[in-house]
Amino acid sequence: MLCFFAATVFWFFNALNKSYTTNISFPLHFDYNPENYVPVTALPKEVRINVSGIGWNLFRRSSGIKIPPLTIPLERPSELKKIVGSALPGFFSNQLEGLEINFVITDTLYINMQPKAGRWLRLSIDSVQQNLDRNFTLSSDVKVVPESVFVEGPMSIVTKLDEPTKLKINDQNIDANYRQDLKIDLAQGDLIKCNPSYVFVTFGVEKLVSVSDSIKLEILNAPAKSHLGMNLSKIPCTMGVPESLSKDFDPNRVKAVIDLKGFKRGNVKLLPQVMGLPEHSRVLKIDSVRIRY
Amino acid sequence: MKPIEIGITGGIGSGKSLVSKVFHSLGVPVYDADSRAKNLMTTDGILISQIKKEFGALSYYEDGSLNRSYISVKVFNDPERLKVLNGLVHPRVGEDYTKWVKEKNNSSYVLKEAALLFEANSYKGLNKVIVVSAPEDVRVERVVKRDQHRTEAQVRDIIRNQMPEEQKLLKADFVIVNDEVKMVVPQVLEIHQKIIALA
Repeated sequence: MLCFFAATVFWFFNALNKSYTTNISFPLHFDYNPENYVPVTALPKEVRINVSGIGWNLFRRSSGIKIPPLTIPLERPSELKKIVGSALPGFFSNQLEGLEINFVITDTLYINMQPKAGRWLRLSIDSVQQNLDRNFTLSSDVKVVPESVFVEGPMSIVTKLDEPTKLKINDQNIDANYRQDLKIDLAQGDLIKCNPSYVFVTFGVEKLVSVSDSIKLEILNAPAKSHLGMNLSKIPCTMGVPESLSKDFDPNRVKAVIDLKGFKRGNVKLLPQVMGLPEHSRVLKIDSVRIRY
Repeated sequence: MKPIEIGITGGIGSGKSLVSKVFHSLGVPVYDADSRAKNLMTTDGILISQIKKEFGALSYYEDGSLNRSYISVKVFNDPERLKVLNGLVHPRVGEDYTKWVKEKNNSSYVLKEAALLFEANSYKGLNKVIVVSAPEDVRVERVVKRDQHRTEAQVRDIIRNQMPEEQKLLKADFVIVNDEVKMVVPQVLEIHQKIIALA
Protein backbone atom coordinates (compact mmCIF):
# COMPACT_ATOMS: atom_id res chain seq x y z
CA MET A 1 0.00 0.00 0.00
CA LEU A 2 2.81 2.33 0.97
CA CYS A 3 4.66 1.50 -2.25
CA PHE A 4 1.51 2.22 -4.26
CA PHE A 5 1.06 5.58 -2.54
CA ALA A 6 4.73 6.49 -3.05
CA ALA A 7 4.50 5.51 -6.73
CA THR A 8 1.36 7.62 -7.19
CA VAL A 9 3.01 10.67 -5.60
CA PHE A 10 6.11 10.15 -7.72
CA TRP A 11 4.01 9.78 -10.87
CA PHE A 12 1.96 12.89 -9.99
CA PHE A 13 4.97 15.14 -9.44
CA ASN A 14 6.69 13.73 -12.48
CA ALA A 15 3.59 14.46 -14.58
CA LEU A 16 3.46 18.03 -13.29
CA ASN A 17 6.94 18.67 -14.63
CA LYS A 18 5.97 17.79 -18.21
CA SER A 19 4.70 20.30 -20.77
CA TYR A 20 1.03 20.36 -21.81
CA THR A 21 -1.42 22.41 -23.83
CA THR A 22 -4.90 23.18 -22.53
CA ASN A 23 -7.76 25.72 -22.49
CA ILE A 24 -8.08 27.83 -19.35
CA SER A 25 -10.59 30.53 -18.39
CA PHE A 26 -8.81 33.49 -16.81
CA PRO A 27 -10.58 36.19 -14.78
CA LEU A 28 -10.49 39.65 -16.35
CA HIS A 29 -9.91 43.06 -14.85
CA PHE A 30 -10.49 46.26 -16.84
CA ASP A 31 -8.28 49.10 -15.75
CA TYR A 32 -10.15 52.40 -16.26
CA ASN A 33 -10.84 55.55 -14.30
CA PRO A 34 -14.10 54.88 -12.42
CA GLU A 35 -14.37 58.60 -11.64
CA ASN A 36 -14.93 59.35 -15.33
CA TYR A 37 -16.48 56.21 -16.83
CA VAL A 38 -19.19 53.75 -15.91
CA PRO A 39 -20.19 50.41 -17.50
CA VAL A 40 -23.68 50.38 -19.02
CA THR A 41 -23.71 46.61 -19.35
CA ALA A 42 -21.68 44.24 -17.23
CA LEU A 43 -18.08 43.93 -18.40
CA PRO A 44 -16.88 40.47 -19.47
CA LYS A 45 -15.70 38.55 -16.42
CA GLU A 46 -13.38 36.04 -18.03
CA VAL A 47 -11.53 35.11 -21.17
CA ARG A 48 -10.77 31.61 -22.43
CA ILE A 49 -7.27 31.06 -23.74
CA ASN A 50 -5.41 28.09 -25.18
CA VAL A 51 -2.04 28.00 -23.37
CA SER A 52 1.00 25.78 -23.13
CA GLY A 53 3.26 25.35 -20.13
CA ILE A 54 4.59 22.89 -17.62
CA GLY A 55 1.98 20.86 -15.77
CA TRP A 56 2.48 22.56 -12.43
CA ASN A 57 1.77 26.05 -13.86
CA LEU A 58 -1.26 24.76 -15.76
CA PHE A 59 -2.55 22.90 -12.70
CA ARG A 60 -2.20 26.01 -10.53
CA ARG A 61 -4.00 28.19 -13.09
CA SER A 62 -6.76 25.75 -13.99
CA SER A 63 -7.51 24.98 -10.34
CA GLY A 64 -8.56 28.62 -9.98
CA ILE A 65 -6.65 29.09 -6.73
CA LYS A 66 -5.42 32.68 -6.29
CA ILE A 67 -5.34 33.45 -10.01
CA PRO A 68 -4.61 37.14 -10.45
CA PRO A 69 -6.95 38.56 -13.10
CA LEU A 70 -5.59 39.51 -16.50
CA THR A 71 -5.67 43.27 -16.87
CA ILE A 72 -6.82 45.21 -19.93
CA PRO A 73 -6.06 48.94 -19.70
CA LEU A 74 -8.86 51.13 -21.08
CA GLU A 75 -7.80 54.73 -21.50
CA ARG A 76 -10.92 56.01 -23.27
CA PRO A 77 -13.37 53.14 -22.78
CA SER A 78 -16.39 55.03 -24.11
CA GLU A 79 -14.82 54.99 -27.59
CA LEU A 80 -14.72 51.18 -27.58
CA LYS A 81 -17.49 48.81 -28.44
CA LYS A 82 -15.50 45.62 -28.58
CA ILE A 83 -12.06 44.07 -28.30
CA VAL A 84 -11.38 41.26 -30.72
CA GLY A 85 -9.90 38.10 -29.22
CA SER A 86 -6.88 38.19 -31.52
CA ALA A 87 -5.85 41.55 -30.00
CA LEU A 88 -5.67 40.12 -26.48
CA PRO A 89 -2.33 38.26 -26.55
CA GLY A 90 -0.71 41.69 -26.91
CA PHE A 91 -2.07 42.60 -23.46
CA PHE A 92 -1.55 39.30 -21.69
CA SER A 93 1.84 38.05 -22.86
CA ASN A 94 3.62 39.73 -19.94
CA GLN A 95 0.96 38.75 -17.42
CA LEU A 96 1.07 34.98 -17.84
CA GLU A 97 4.32 33.98 -16.23
CA GLY A 98 5.37 30.45 -17.14
CA LEU A 99 2.64 30.06 -19.75
CA GLU A 100 2.66 30.64 -23.46
CA ILE A 101 -0.45 31.86 -25.25
CA ASN A 102 -1.24 29.79 -28.33
CA PHE A 103 -4.48 31.57 -29.20
CA VAL A 104 -7.45 33.24 -27.56
CA ILE A 105 -10.62 31.15 -27.78
CA THR A 106 -12.98 33.97 -26.79
CA ASP A 107 -13.93 35.61 -30.09
CA THR A 108 -14.80 39.11 -28.92
CA LEU A 109 -15.14 40.98 -25.64
CA TYR A 110 -18.00 43.45 -25.86
CA ILE A 111 -17.56 46.71 -23.97
CA ASN A 112 -20.37 49.17 -23.31
CA MET A 113 -19.13 52.06 -21.22
CA GLN A 114 -20.09 55.70 -21.10
CA PRO A 115 -18.73 58.86 -19.59
CA LYS A 116 -20.08 59.31 -16.09
CA ALA A 117 -22.51 62.22 -15.61
CA GLY A 118 -24.05 63.72 -12.50
CA ARG A 119 -26.92 66.16 -11.88
CA TRP A 120 -29.45 67.25 -9.29
CA LEU A 121 -32.81 65.61 -9.83
CA ARG A 122 -36.10 66.92 -8.50
CA LEU A 123 -38.47 64.27 -7.15
CA SER A 124 -42.21 64.11 -6.66
CA ILE A 125 -44.66 61.37 -5.76
CA ASP A 126 -46.92 59.81 -8.35
CA SER A 127 -50.67 60.10 -7.61
CA VAL A 128 -51.09 59.00 -4.01
CA GLN A 129 -54.87 58.62 -4.22
CA GLN A 130 -54.58 55.11 -5.61
CA ASN A 131 -52.58 54.01 -2.55
CA LEU A 132 -55.22 55.14 -0.04
CA ASP A 133 -57.96 53.05 1.51
CA ARG A 134 -61.14 53.65 -0.52
CA ASN A 135 -62.75 55.37 2.47
CA PHE A 136 -59.87 57.81 2.95
CA THR A 137 -58.55 60.87 1.15
CA LEU A 138 -55.59 63.24 1.39
CA SER A 139 -55.83 66.01 3.94
CA SER A 140 -52.53 67.72 3.11
CA ASP A 141 -50.00 68.12 0.31
CA VAL A 142 -47.53 65.28 -0.26
CA LYS A 143 -44.08 66.34 0.96
CA VAL A 144 -40.80 64.79 -0.18
CA VAL A 145 -37.65 65.51 1.83
CA PRO A 146 -35.19 66.24 0.30
CA GLU A 147 -36.94 67.51 -2.81
CA SER A 148 -33.80 66.92 -4.93
CA VAL A 149 -31.11 64.26 -4.89
CA PHE A 150 -27.78 64.02 -6.71
CA VAL A 151 -27.76 61.26 -9.32
CA GLU A 152 -24.68 59.83 -10.98
CA GLY A 153 -24.44 57.28 -13.79
CA PRO A 154 -24.07 56.74 -17.54
CA MET A 155 -24.50 60.03 -19.38
CA SER A 156 -27.23 58.80 -21.75
CA ILE A 157 -29.41 57.66 -18.84
CA VAL A 158 -28.75 60.50 -16.41
CA THR A 159 -29.47 63.21 -18.97
CA LYS A 160 -32.80 61.61 -19.95
CA LEU A 161 -34.31 61.35 -16.46
CA ASP A 162 -37.60 63.26 -16.20
CA GLU A 163 -37.64 66.51 -14.26
CA PRO A 164 -39.25 66.05 -11.80
CA THR A 165 -39.00 62.28 -11.63
CA LYS A 166 -42.07 60.66 -10.10
CA LEU A 167 -41.62 58.02 -7.42
CA LYS A 168 -44.23 55.41 -6.58
CA ILE A 169 -45.35 54.47 -3.09
CA ASN A 170 -45.72 50.72 -2.70
CA ASP A 171 -47.97 50.73 0.39
CA GLN A 172 -51.65 50.12 -0.29
CA ASN A 173 -54.88 50.82 1.61
CA ILE A 174 -53.28 53.65 3.59
CA ASP A 175 -55.71 54.77 6.32
CA ALA A 176 -53.42 56.77 8.62
CA ASN A 177 -51.14 59.78 8.27
CA TYR A 178 -48.09 58.69 6.27
CA ARG A 179 -44.44 59.18 7.35
CA GLN A 180 -42.12 56.73 5.64
CA ASP A 181 -38.69 56.45 4.06
CA LEU A 182 -38.97 55.63 0.37
CA LYS A 183 -36.15 54.05 -1.59
CA ILE A 184 -35.49 55.96 -4.81
CA ASP A 185 -36.21 53.39 -7.48
CA LEU A 186 -35.36 54.77 -10.92
CA ALA A 187 -35.58 53.09 -14.31
CA GLN A 188 -32.24 51.30 -14.94
CA GLY A 189 -31.55 52.14 -11.31
CA ASP A 190 -28.84 49.51 -10.96
CA LEU A 191 -26.67 51.78 -13.13
CA ILE A 192 -27.48 54.97 -11.26
CA LYS A 193 -26.23 56.04 -7.87
CA CYS A 194 -28.52 58.39 -5.91
CA ASN A 195 -27.32 60.47 -3.00
CA PRO A 196 -29.20 60.12 -0.73
CA SER A 197 -30.76 56.86 -1.84
CA TYR A 198 -33.90 57.37 0.31
CA VAL A 199 -36.34 60.24 0.67
CA PHE A 200 -38.78 60.89 3.48
CA VAL A 201 -42.42 61.09 2.34
CA THR A 202 -45.16 62.59 4.47
CA PHE A 203 -48.83 63.34 3.94
CA GLY A 204 -51.99 63.42 6.03
CA VAL A 205 -55.13 61.38 5.36
CA GLU A 206 -58.67 61.84 6.50
CA LYS A 207 -61.76 59.66 6.50
CA LEU A 208 -64.28 60.28 3.75
CA VAL A 209 -67.92 60.76 4.62
CA SER A 210 -70.29 59.47 2.00
CA VAL A 211 -72.98 61.96 0.91
CA SER A 212 -75.69 60.84 -1.52
CA ASP A 213 -77.88 63.48 -3.13
CA SER A 214 -79.25 64.68 -6.43
CA ILE A 215 -77.06 67.31 -8.05
CA LYS A 216 -77.76 69.76 -10.82
CA LEU A 217 -77.04 68.55 -14.38
CA GLU A 218 -75.73 71.07 -16.87
CA ILE A 219 -75.28 70.44 -20.62
CA LEU A 220 -72.69 72.59 -22.33
CA ASN A 221 -72.30 73.34 -26.06
CA ALA A 222 -75.56 71.75 -27.08
CA PRO A 223 -76.29 72.53 -30.79
CA ALA A 224 -78.89 75.20 -31.36
CA LYS A 225 -82.45 74.00 -32.02
CA SER A 226 -81.53 70.51 -30.89
CA HIS A 227 -83.72 68.26 -28.78
CA LEU A 228 -81.64 66.38 -26.24
CA GLY A 229 -84.05 63.47 -25.90
CA MET A 230 -83.93 63.70 -22.14
CA ASN A 231 -85.72 65.49 -19.44
CA LEU A 232 -83.28 65.58 -16.53
CA SER A 233 -82.33 68.62 -14.51
CA LYS A 234 -80.76 66.67 -11.64
CA ILE A 235 -79.00 63.29 -11.34
CA PRO A 236 -78.18 61.11 -8.32
CA CYS A 237 -74.56 61.19 -7.16
CA THR A 238 -72.66 59.71 -4.21
CA MET A 239 -69.73 61.86 -3.09
CA GLY A 240 -66.95 61.24 -0.60
CA VAL A 241 -66.20 64.39 1.40
CA PRO A 242 -63.41 64.74 4.02
CA GLU A 243 -64.89 64.36 7.47
CA SER A 244 -63.67 67.80 8.59
CA LEU A 245 -65.53 69.46 5.69
CA SER A 246 -68.67 67.36 5.77
CA LYS A 247 -70.55 69.55 8.26
CA ASP A 248 -70.34 72.61 5.99
CA PHE A 249 -70.79 70.67 2.74
CA ASP A 250 -73.72 71.82 0.62
CA PRO A 251 -74.56 69.43 -2.31
CA ASN A 252 -76.41 72.31 -4.03
CA ARG A 253 -73.02 73.89 -4.82
CA VAL A 254 -72.01 70.79 -6.78
CA LYS A 255 -73.02 70.20 -10.37
CA ALA A 256 -72.60 67.48 -12.99
CA VAL A 257 -71.45 68.83 -16.35
CA ILE A 258 -71.63 67.24 -19.79
CA ASP A 259 -69.79 69.02 -22.56
CA LEU A 260 -71.04 68.09 -26.03
CA LYS A 261 -68.24 69.94 -27.81
CA GLY A 262 -66.63 67.63 -30.33
CA PHE A 263 -69.38 64.98 -30.27
CA LYS A 264 -71.26 64.11 -33.44
CA ARG A 265 -75.05 64.13 -33.42
CA GLY A 266 -76.60 60.81 -32.48
CA ASN A 267 -77.29 58.66 -29.48
CA VAL A 268 -74.44 58.96 -26.94
CA LYS A 269 -73.89 57.81 -23.38
CA LEU A 270 -71.63 60.15 -21.44
CA LEU A 271 -70.24 60.27 -17.91
CA PRO A 272 -70.76 63.70 -16.36
CA GLN A 273 -67.88 65.57 -14.81
CA VAL A 274 -68.63 66.64 -11.24
CA MET A 275 -67.58 70.18 -10.38
CA GLY A 276 -67.61 72.22 -7.20
CA LEU A 277 -66.53 69.51 -4.79
CA PRO A 278 -64.42 70.60 -1.79
CA GLU A 279 -60.65 69.90 -1.91
CA HIS A 280 -59.62 66.23 -1.54
CA SER A 281 -63.24 65.09 -2.11
CA ARG A 282 -64.07 62.54 -4.77
CA VAL A 283 -67.03 61.05 -6.60
CA LEU A 284 -67.89 57.58 -5.30
CA LYS A 285 -70.76 56.87 -7.67
CA ILE A 286 -72.49 58.58 -10.58
CA ASP A 287 -74.37 57.13 -13.52
CA SER A 288 -73.67 58.01 -17.10
CA VAL A 289 -76.36 59.92 -19.00
CA ARG A 290 -77.81 58.91 -22.40
CA ILE A 291 -78.35 61.83 -24.75
CA ARG A 292 -79.97 61.74 -28.19
CA TYR A 293 -79.71 64.90 -30.32
CA MET B 1 -20.96 48.72 -56.19
CA LYS B 2 -18.90 50.58 -53.60
CA PRO B 3 -16.17 48.32 -52.20
CA ILE B 4 -15.80 47.64 -48.48
CA GLU B 5 -13.06 49.88 -47.11
CA ILE B 6 -10.54 48.24 -44.83
CA GLY B 7 -7.77 50.10 -43.02
CA ILE B 8 -4.44 48.56 -42.18
CA THR B 9 -2.17 50.16 -39.64
CA GLY B 10 0.54 49.41 -37.12
CA GLY B 11 3.49 51.05 -35.48
CA ILE B 12 6.81 51.67 -37.17
CA GLY B 13 8.47 48.37 -38.08
CA SER B 14 5.37 46.28 -37.44
CA GLY B 15 5.35 45.08 -41.06
CA LYS B 16 2.28 46.83 -42.47
CA SER B 17 3.76 46.97 -45.95
CA LEU B 18 4.62 43.27 -45.96
CA VAL B 19 1.08 42.38 -44.93
CA SER B 20 -0.33 44.79 -47.53
CA LYS B 21 1.78 43.07 -50.19
CA VAL B 22 0.25 39.71 -49.25
CA PHE B 23 -3.25 41.22 -49.60
CA HIS B 24 -2.21 42.78 -52.91
CA SER B 25 -1.04 39.40 -54.18
CA LEU B 26 -4.62 38.19 -53.51
CA GLY B 27 -5.87 40.87 -55.90
CA VAL B 28 -6.90 43.41 -53.28
CA PRO B 29 -6.24 47.03 -54.31
CA VAL B 30 -4.00 48.73 -51.73
CA TYR B 31 -3.81 52.48 -51.16
CA ASP B 32 -0.53 53.34 -49.46
CA ALA B 33 -1.44 56.61 -47.72
CA ASP B 34 2.13 57.44 -46.65
CA SER B 35 3.58 56.99 -50.15
CA ARG B 36 0.66 58.89 -51.67
CA ALA B 37 1.22 61.71 -49.17
CA LYS B 38 4.86 61.98 -50.23
CA ASN B 39 3.79 61.93 -53.84
CA LEU B 40 1.10 64.58 -53.36
CA MET B 41 3.58 66.86 -51.62
CA THR B 42 5.41 67.16 -54.95
CA THR B 43 2.55 66.87 -57.44
CA ASP B 44 -0.50 68.53 -55.86
CA GLY B 45 -0.33 72.24 -56.74
CA ILE B 46 -2.66 73.32 -53.94
CA LEU B 47 -0.72 71.37 -51.32
CA ILE B 48 2.64 72.64 -52.60
CA SER B 49 1.54 76.26 -52.38
CA GLN B 50 0.10 75.70 -48.88
CA ILE B 51 3.35 74.13 -47.67
CA LYS B 52 5.43 76.94 -49.19
CA LYS B 53 3.16 79.51 -47.56
CA GLU B 54 3.41 77.86 -44.15
CA PHE B 55 7.04 76.70 -44.11
CA GLY B 56 8.69 79.01 -46.65
CA ALA B 57 9.97 78.67 -50.22
CA LEU B 58 12.97 76.66 -49.01
CA SER B 59 10.61 73.73 -48.48
CA TYR B 60 11.18 72.84 -52.14
CA TYR B 61 14.28 72.58 -54.32
CA GLU B 62 14.42 74.41 -57.62
CA ASP B 63 13.57 71.20 -59.49
CA GLY B 64 10.31 70.95 -57.52
CA SER B 65 11.34 68.09 -55.27
CA LEU B 66 10.62 68.32 -51.54
CA ASN B 67 13.43 69.51 -49.30
CA ARG B 68 12.90 66.74 -46.76
CA SER B 69 15.79 67.66 -44.46
CA TYR B 70 14.53 71.27 -44.25
CA ILE B 71 10.97 70.16 -43.45
CA SER B 72 12.27 67.59 -40.94
CA VAL B 73 14.22 70.27 -39.09
CA LYS B 74 11.13 72.49 -39.02
CA VAL B 75 8.80 69.86 -37.56
CA PHE B 76 11.20 67.69 -35.55
CA ASN B 77 10.64 68.19 -31.83
CA ASP B 78 7.91 70.75 -32.56
CA PRO B 79 4.55 69.00 -32.23
CA GLU B 80 2.66 72.17 -33.13
CA ARG B 81 4.45 72.58 -36.48
CA LEU B 82 4.01 68.85 -37.15
CA LYS B 83 0.31 69.29 -36.48
CA VAL B 84 0.20 72.14 -38.99
CA LEU B 85 1.95 70.02 -41.64
CA ASN B 86 -0.38 67.07 -41.01
CA GLY B 87 -3.33 69.46 -41.14
CA LEU B 88 -2.29 70.43 -44.67
CA VAL B 89 -1.41 66.96 -45.94
CA HIS B 90 -4.13 64.73 -44.44
CA PRO B 91 -7.15 66.44 -46.05
CA ARG B 92 -5.50 66.28 -49.49
CA VAL B 93 -4.69 62.59 -48.97
CA GLY B 94 -8.29 62.06 -47.85
CA GLU B 95 -9.62 63.58 -51.09
CA ASP B 96 -7.15 61.59 -53.16
CA TYR B 97 -8.19 58.38 -51.39
CA THR B 98 -11.90 59.08 -51.99
CA LYS B 99 -11.23 59.51 -55.72
CA TRP B 100 -9.15 56.32 -55.74
CA VAL B 101 -11.92 54.28 -54.06
CA LYS B 102 -14.44 55.47 -56.66
CA GLU B 103 -12.24 53.94 -59.35
CA LYS B 104 -12.26 50.52 -57.62
CA ASN B 105 -15.91 49.65 -58.17
CA ASN B 106 -15.04 46.16 -59.42
CA SER B 107 -13.34 45.13 -56.18
CA SER B 108 -15.24 43.63 -53.26
CA TYR B 109 -12.91 45.42 -50.87
CA VAL B 110 -9.96 47.79 -50.82
CA LEU B 111 -7.18 48.31 -48.32
CA LYS B 112 -5.96 51.65 -47.03
CA GLU B 113 -2.52 51.37 -45.47
CA ALA B 114 -1.59 54.22 -43.14
CA ALA B 115 0.74 54.52 -40.18
CA LEU B 116 -1.39 57.19 -38.49
CA LEU B 117 -4.84 55.80 -39.21
CA PHE B 118 -6.00 56.21 -35.60
CA GLU B 119 -4.01 59.33 -34.80
CA ALA B 120 -5.44 61.16 -37.83
CA ASN B 121 -8.93 59.79 -37.11
CA SER B 122 -9.12 58.61 -40.73
CA TYR B 123 -10.21 55.13 -39.53
CA LYS B 124 -13.67 56.50 -38.78
CA GLY B 125 -14.84 56.35 -42.40
CA LEU B 126 -13.58 52.79 -42.85
CA ASN B 127 -15.64 49.62 -42.42
CA LYS B 128 -13.00 47.58 -40.58
CA VAL B 129 -9.43 48.06 -39.37
CA ILE B 130 -6.59 45.55 -39.35
CA VAL B 131 -3.78 46.20 -36.87
CA VAL B 132 -0.39 44.63 -37.56
CA SER B 133 1.28 43.85 -34.27
CA ALA B 134 4.84 42.92 -33.38
CA PRO B 135 6.91 43.07 -30.18
CA GLU B 136 8.87 46.30 -29.74
CA ASP B 137 12.30 44.64 -29.90
CA VAL B 138 11.43 42.98 -33.20
CA ARG B 139 10.19 46.29 -34.60
CA VAL B 140 13.33 48.16 -33.53
CA GLU B 141 15.56 45.51 -35.09
CA ARG B 142 13.64 45.68 -38.38
CA VAL B 143 13.76 49.49 -38.61
CA VAL B 144 17.46 49.72 -37.75
CA LYS B 145 18.17 47.16 -40.47
CA ARG B 146 15.91 48.95 -42.99
CA ASP B 147 16.73 52.62 -42.24
CA GLN B 148 20.45 52.55 -41.65
CA HIS B 149 20.57 56.27 -40.89
CA ARG B 150 18.51 55.67 -37.71
CA THR B 151 19.94 54.51 -34.40
CA GLU B 152 18.15 52.17 -32.03
CA ALA B 153 17.54 55.05 -29.59
CA GLN B 154 15.94 57.15 -32.34
CA VAL B 155 13.64 54.29 -33.34
CA ARG B 156 12.59 53.76 -29.72
CA ASP B 157 11.92 57.52 -29.53
CA ILE B 158 9.68 57.30 -32.59
CA ILE B 159 7.83 54.33 -31.06
CA ARG B 160 7.29 56.28 -27.84
CA ASN B 161 5.87 59.22 -29.81
CA GLN B 162 3.40 57.00 -31.67
CA MET B 163 0.09 55.81 -30.25
CA PRO B 164 0.87 52.84 -27.97
CA GLU B 165 0.27 49.51 -29.65
CA GLU B 166 -2.14 48.49 -26.87
CA GLN B 167 -4.43 51.39 -27.79
CA LYS B 168 -4.33 50.41 -31.44
CA LEU B 169 -5.18 46.80 -30.58
CA LEU B 170 -8.24 47.95 -28.64
CA LYS B 171 -9.61 49.60 -31.78
CA ALA B 172 -8.79 46.71 -34.10
CA ASP B 173 -11.35 44.57 -35.88
CA PHE B 174 -8.65 42.14 -36.98
CA VAL B 175 -5.13 41.63 -35.69
CA ILE B 176 -2.22 40.18 -37.61
CA VAL B 177 0.72 39.14 -35.46
CA ASN B 178 3.95 39.64 -37.38
CA ASP B 179 6.44 38.57 -34.73
CA GLU B 180 8.53 36.30 -36.96
CA VAL B 181 7.16 33.32 -35.04
CA LYS B 182 3.55 33.15 -36.17
CA MET B 183 3.07 32.73 -39.92
CA VAL B 184 1.59 35.80 -41.60
CA VAL B 185 0.05 34.32 -44.76
CA PRO B 186 -2.49 32.02 -42.99
CA GLN B 187 -3.58 34.98 -40.86
CA VAL B 188 -4.05 37.11 -43.98
CA LEU B 189 -6.00 34.35 -45.74
CA GLU B 190 -8.32 33.95 -42.75
CA ILE B 191 -9.04 37.69 -42.62
CA HIS B 192 -9.42 37.82 -46.41
CA GLN B 193 -12.12 35.14 -46.20
CA LYS B 194 -13.89 36.96 -43.41
CA ILE B 195 -13.93 40.26 -45.35
CA ILE B 196 -15.12 38.54 -48.54
CA ALA B 197 -17.97 37.08 -46.48
CA LEU B 198 -18.92 40.63 -45.40
CA ALA B 199 -19.13 41.88 -48.99
